[in-house]
Amino acid sequence: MTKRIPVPLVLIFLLAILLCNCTYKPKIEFDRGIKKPDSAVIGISLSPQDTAYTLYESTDLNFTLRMFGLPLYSVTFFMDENKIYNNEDTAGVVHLDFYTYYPGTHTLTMVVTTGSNSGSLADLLHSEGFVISKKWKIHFLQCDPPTACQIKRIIDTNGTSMITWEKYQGVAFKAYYIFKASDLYGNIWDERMIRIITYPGDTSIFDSTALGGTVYYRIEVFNSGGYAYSNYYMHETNKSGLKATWTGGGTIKFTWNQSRFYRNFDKYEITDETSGKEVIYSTDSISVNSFIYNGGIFGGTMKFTIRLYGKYPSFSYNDDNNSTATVNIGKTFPAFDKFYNTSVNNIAYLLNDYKLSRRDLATGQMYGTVDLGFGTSWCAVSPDDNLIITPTFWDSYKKIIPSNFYHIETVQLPVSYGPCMETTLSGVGSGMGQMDMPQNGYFIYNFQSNAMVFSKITTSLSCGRISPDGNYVITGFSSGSPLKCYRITNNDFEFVWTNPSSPCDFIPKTNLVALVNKTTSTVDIRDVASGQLAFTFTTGSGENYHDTDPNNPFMLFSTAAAWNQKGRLSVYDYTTGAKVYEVYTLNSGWAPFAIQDATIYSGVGFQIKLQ
Amino acid sequence: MRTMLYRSFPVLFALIFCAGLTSGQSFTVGMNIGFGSYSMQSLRQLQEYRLESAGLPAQVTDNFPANWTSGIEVGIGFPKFPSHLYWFFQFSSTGARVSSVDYSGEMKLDIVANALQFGTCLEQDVWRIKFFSLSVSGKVSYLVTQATTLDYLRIYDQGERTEYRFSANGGGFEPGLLAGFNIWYLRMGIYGGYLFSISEGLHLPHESKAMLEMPNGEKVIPQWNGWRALLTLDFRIPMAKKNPGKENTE
Repeated sequence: MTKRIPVPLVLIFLLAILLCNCTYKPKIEFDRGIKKPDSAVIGISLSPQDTAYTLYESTDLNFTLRMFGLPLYSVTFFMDENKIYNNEDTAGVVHLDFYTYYPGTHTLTMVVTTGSNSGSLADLLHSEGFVISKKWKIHFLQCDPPTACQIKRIIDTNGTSMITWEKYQGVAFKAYYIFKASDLYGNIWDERMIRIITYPGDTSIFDSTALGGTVYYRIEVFNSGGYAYSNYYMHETNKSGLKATWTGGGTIKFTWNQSRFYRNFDKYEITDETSGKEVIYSTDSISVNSFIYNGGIFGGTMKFTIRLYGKYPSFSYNDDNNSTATVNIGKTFPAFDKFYNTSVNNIAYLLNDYKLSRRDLATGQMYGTVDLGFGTSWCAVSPDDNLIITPTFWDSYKKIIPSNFYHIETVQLPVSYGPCMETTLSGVGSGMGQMDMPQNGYFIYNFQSNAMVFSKITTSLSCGRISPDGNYVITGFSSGSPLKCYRITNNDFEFVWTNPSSPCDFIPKTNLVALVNKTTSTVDIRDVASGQLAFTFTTGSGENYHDTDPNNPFMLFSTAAAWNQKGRLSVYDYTTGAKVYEVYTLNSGWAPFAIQDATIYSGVGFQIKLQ
Repeated sequence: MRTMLYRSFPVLFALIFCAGLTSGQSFTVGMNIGFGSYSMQSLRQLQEYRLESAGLPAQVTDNFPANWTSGIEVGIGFPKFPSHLYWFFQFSSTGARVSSVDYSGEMKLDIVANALQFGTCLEQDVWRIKFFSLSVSGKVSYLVTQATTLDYLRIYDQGERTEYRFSANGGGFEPGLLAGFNIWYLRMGIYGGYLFSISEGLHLPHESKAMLEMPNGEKVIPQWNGWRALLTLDFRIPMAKKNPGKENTE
């Protein structure tokens, strides 16, 4: 047994030990079958693009790489041996510093490192790629200042001015600077730069800030060595040309040249230089080239200026394109329907076409016009010029405050009354007036305080007028019955006297009343308080009395039915009844005037002379 | 607790073997060689994770395939039950690879796992006629796994290699069926069985707390479960025993 056992045992154990050493060994590998790339192509774009560069100043070189799918690892630029740029972007700017390298010729080298894009393990781990380089010659040279580029022509076209100049012919161009200046009394002023052109081939611009008139342009050209100015080029076109013409009364007609520079046009603006540059007209419509102004000074000389404003720059204008017109205004007023005047402040009121104009009697200057509304045929002006009333409806009236002439208030009355009497408000400064009440009532109303003085329901009183001192009222004016005078006292009417003749009109004055009989053409002057007849005088046949100031010592009569009609005008002394003077109008239409002592005023078509 | 259980296996086997020596009829030595399949589900997941983590275009080119296994055994024959009691040592090895190769270099992510089984086997002849026999067996083993991971990257002529070794202890039970041809002292057989194994997680040698884990915290456990197909060769040497009656007749 000892001879047979050892051999197989040894063999078995040797075999077992051998097998135990045979550990598994993975052998299979995944070969991806990728081929090694031999070459690569990238695109290089430079701006400015050139094969060699001659530089007269520091320059930024813009580069752009087209990688055609290759990953970019780095871009490096060397100026000779010096690294001047390194980045990992496909586009960038390389600064070539003139002062570091001037003068001389240098080599600019670009080195681009890319991936291989083969997809190999080395490529994926960024351990494989291409190195691509390219070189340029860079010459740094000194540059001389440029010669000036003169302006060749300026053409107004398409709402703008087109400026054309000579092209810069040298090297190292940097920019054209375009300057524009205005004209002030033949001098160049307010020069400003309006554009910068950086491409030498661009030798014209459109000036969208043009407004016409006289302007000056010049070109400043820059290169790396300096700059040069052109001469001023004067361009004169499309001046505004304001003209002012007096057309009668206070009316002035303005005309001007329509602007052709619509691209920059903002507005026309006319100012009254006489009144301290007050703007009297403004419009943003370029097609408007006329304007009627009613604020002319009676018999004066006025000066106006028109300005054309541009949008760019904001509220700009060309001073040379502003134009001034002077106009002399005659002493005539336009036609009117009614005339009122007050003794205070020499103010006259003209009511025409429902509009009430306020003027200075001495100068004729217009203070303004208010629209009283359609249908307004009359108004009343208080003697102190502090109150004007004009009824529109029976339950209200309009009140105009002269201190603010354009301000109109509509005042509602407590109840609906009859019409306010067409009369001058009586009582100096009292502002009192009278109205019919419903059902034959009667009351006196203070329009200044908006308060009723008193009222009385009575059928015995018809419309009348209040004496200037506010103490008496004379009735029967519109009823055709005999006139009766009542004293206003203790909130009642106390009968004082009556006028036996009828029909008649009456004229309230300070302490006397004039009773006018149109049938007999006689005027009785009586004392308001007692009714005692002072004297009687005779007027011309068919003459009608016209209102004047209650305190005015003259009375006006005319053969015309209204103020604005052709006829004979007579002036009587109120205290003596003597005719002061008489005149016939030469043309249709009266002119307004005031009778104050010996003052004589001229009007259209007639002249009043003291007899 | 589990580690103590694993370490008690050799003692248990030694006790069984010593007991067998006292009552055995023949002494047997043998060897086997064959094929084994290995599930290795956890290690396969580890390879998938390594493939994903590599970030390079690669493929799994080896994935714990069926591979050679071999072993030796020493046993005792009995006249009745069991027919044989073996002490055996079985060696198995398999591995996996994730790889990528091109002109610029290569990348390999390898794992090689070896299993060392020490155990005892009970075998019972269930049928025998002349030279042929049919036996059933059951193997209980102490299983030591030794695994090696290799990360290898070469780009052109620059290479980098990183290698780690791990180990794990475990145990297995393998029922089987053996058809034998008996001639002289030899028995040549064909064996088929299936190994059920358990194991602790792989860890650094001598540092059982340094575990190999997946990113989700799961331990990487070697799983040697699988079929075994072996060719066996045994030498059965009768053991000389004194027979008082026979001695007297001589």
